[in-house]
Amino acid sequence: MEERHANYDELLNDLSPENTFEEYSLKSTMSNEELPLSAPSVNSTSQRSLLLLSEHIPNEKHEIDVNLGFGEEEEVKRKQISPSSINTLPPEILLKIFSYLDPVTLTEIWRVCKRWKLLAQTKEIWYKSFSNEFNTQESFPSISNSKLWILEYEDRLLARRKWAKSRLTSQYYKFMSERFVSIPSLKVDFESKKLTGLLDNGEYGSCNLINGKSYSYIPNRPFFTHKTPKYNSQYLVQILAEDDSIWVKKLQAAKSSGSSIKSSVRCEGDSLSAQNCLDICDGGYNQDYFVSGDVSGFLMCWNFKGKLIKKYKLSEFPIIFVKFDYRNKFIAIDSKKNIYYVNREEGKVHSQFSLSEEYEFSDLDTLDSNFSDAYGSRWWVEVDFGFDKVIFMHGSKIIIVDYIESKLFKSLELQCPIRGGEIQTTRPLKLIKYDKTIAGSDGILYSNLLSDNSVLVWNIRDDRAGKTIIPQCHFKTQFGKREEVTSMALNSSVLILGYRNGFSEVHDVFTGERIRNCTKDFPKNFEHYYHGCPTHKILLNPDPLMPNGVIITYDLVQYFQFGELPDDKEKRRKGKLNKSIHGQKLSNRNIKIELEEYDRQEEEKKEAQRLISKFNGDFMNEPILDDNENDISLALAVSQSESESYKNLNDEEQLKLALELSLNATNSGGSASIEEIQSNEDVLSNEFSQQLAEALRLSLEDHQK
Amino acid sequence: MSQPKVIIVSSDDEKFPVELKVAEKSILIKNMVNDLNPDGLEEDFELPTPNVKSTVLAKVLEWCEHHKDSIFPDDDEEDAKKSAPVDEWDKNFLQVDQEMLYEIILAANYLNIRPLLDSGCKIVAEMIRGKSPEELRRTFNIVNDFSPEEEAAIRRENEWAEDR
Repeated sequence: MEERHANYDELLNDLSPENTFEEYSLKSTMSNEELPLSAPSVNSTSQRSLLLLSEHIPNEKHEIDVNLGFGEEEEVKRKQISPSSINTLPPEILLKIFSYLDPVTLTEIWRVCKRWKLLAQTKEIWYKSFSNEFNTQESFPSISNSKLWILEYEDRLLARRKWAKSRLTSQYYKFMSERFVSIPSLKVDFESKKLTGLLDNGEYGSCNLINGKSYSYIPNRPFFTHKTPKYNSQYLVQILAEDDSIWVKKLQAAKSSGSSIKSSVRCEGDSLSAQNCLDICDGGYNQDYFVSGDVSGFLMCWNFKGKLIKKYKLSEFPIIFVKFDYRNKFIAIDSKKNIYYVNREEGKVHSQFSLSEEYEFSDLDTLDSNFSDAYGSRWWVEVDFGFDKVIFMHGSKIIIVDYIESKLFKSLELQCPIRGGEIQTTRPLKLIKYDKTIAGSDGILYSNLLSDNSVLVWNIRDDRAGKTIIPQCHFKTQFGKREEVTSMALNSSVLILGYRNGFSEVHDVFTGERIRNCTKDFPKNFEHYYHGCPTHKILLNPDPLMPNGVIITYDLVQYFQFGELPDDKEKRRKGKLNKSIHGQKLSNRNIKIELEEYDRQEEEKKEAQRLISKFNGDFMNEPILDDNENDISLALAVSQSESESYKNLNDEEQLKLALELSLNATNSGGSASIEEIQSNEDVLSNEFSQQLAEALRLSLEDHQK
Repeated sequence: MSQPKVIIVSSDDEKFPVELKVAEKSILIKNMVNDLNPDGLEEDFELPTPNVKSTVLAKVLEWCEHHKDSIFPDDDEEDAKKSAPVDEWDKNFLQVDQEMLYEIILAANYLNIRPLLDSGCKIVAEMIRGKSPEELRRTFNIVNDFSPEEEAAIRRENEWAEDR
């Protein structure tokens, strides 16, 4: 054996470069016998030969082994390179053969030899297998983030199995305040298992999903915002209704002290104008700055200390939408529907694309992805910074704009108007990155709810040729027209639909096929939620392999998960698993509000002011009051504030105040028309209110002139 | 008068006169005949196939003869083809030694006879299925060219595939 070993080595040294194939066959012979060769030499040689193998196959020589003649064992190996060997078949035929194999066998054959491993990993093989299994197109959201199709395939099978087959466990909690629900700012941090939400007045609440404990923080200063505030784990940024200034609040500081005005910072700039919209990064990517857009067409970058960093003049019209990729790219849209792309690194406005000529849009208030009953007038916008596209949805049209090239990328005209839209739940980083080399070319899915209660799923990053968006699937919802869909969420595997009757269903995101029910029977205490309360919001774990999420039905929070999550296993090992499953344990609604007496007074004032604003039509997203009790409290609040706040004001000041309020109203809604205010007159119950409304109407008319 | 024939010549110069209908099972031959005889075949037409041995060509033409009236689905119908099992006659027909099987596959590939190529590949896939890597190496006389370290690495990579 040793002797032969030496022979081999000698022979290898003598081999000239053009005989690499023989070298390859010899080497492989040796490694098969597991001779104690030094590992590096084997590795380097065999790798090199592997590369050469494919080139050498057609003109291989078979004599060498015969000449060596090492007895029967070698006779067998000689056959390996004889014309009859399977490995003499060209790669395309081997690929064809492999394509008839099932995935399990495909992973087995890796271990046969290097050539097979190489071939069995090629995209073609797995793509065939993949598209058959999942019924999807070429670019789809990758789960594995791997370049290996096989890994993607396996992860996807695993994810689907979890969603479809695992046992469902849910925990139910009552969230501290129903005023939190239906607010687009609801967020779940699945790592810390915390649900957080923000009210328009700056109230910040959080709920632990494991034990249902919740706390809220009510600021001591009335923070009235008419734009949706933005926040991440560290900061809260909001636009104050009074003067449209931006305020930054550090959330940790606020949490500990319960109330500390010092933690709030007002943003100062050289010439501060009324701010209109905001964007702040999500997650821990960029904590250096945030952006805002103002009414005079400026895009501004601020740091969290409230200092203006940079300012770009984009338009003569108010900026109504800003978004940034947490690094250098900004997208802004003005009220004339021009899209602006700014690159902070290069410090210039790159391009603009106008939608106004082609598409009639109505004015809009907030642009957060949400559901709308007033379809036809709402529009939605989404930015995919990874793929460099802006997505618009309005009426029954979907438009994708390439903001780098400043041209239309793709569009789709639907049969009926869009009622809502949700982008795929994914890690924030994925939205700002695009990697063509990973398995599936890295898609991002978007789902639209249409007014005929059907759901359309399509891929933003579908890079196939053509100017029309090809939907991934379009299906009718479970209950048809009887029960409306009121919320939805999707990730790379499933789409969850929440209905008006409180039910929720899991669908396959590629085929639209219904997989299972996601709502277990409500716990006894919450039975009245059946058929009564629509699902408001569904939030999914951004980790594609984690089949869990949160469904919010009115003020009821359902934390669900399919199967056992890895971190649960850990906890059980430690014997600390909290078994508060299926509503057995309820939150005792112990809301820790540690407010000083001063704070309470402030809160009362704030409530009064809120009602006034509501009365003024300021809070467009609040339901119009229609029951008597509210009417009375509204009237009371109004008259109270008259006596308290306004008694020292003279008429001129009153008018000024009313003007201010009306300005806010026009800024926020853009549609706070006189008619609405007139309709609100019905609820007026005292003289002062009528006077105020009169003043308001006059000022509005003035404003419109 | 009998119809003109296509005479296919193997690499070792053996001549196989066949009906046009049989020869046309090969898209390569069909196209060649059509290109060189735009007005239709009027007399016997000789066609060399320098890549195919006589033994293999005989076998391939036997298949063509048997399937001269068969209608095969279009190339595009990928899904239908994939799920379809191998035709029983083809299965018996392809009960040959590996060397012959690969030669037939290569010839079918060269002559562009899709259904025969499909059947051949499916037969090979059938041989692969359900075998351990060691069994596969034995069946196909493949040398394990992985170093022990590499093999261990692959085994680790494959671990996730088990139990799924």
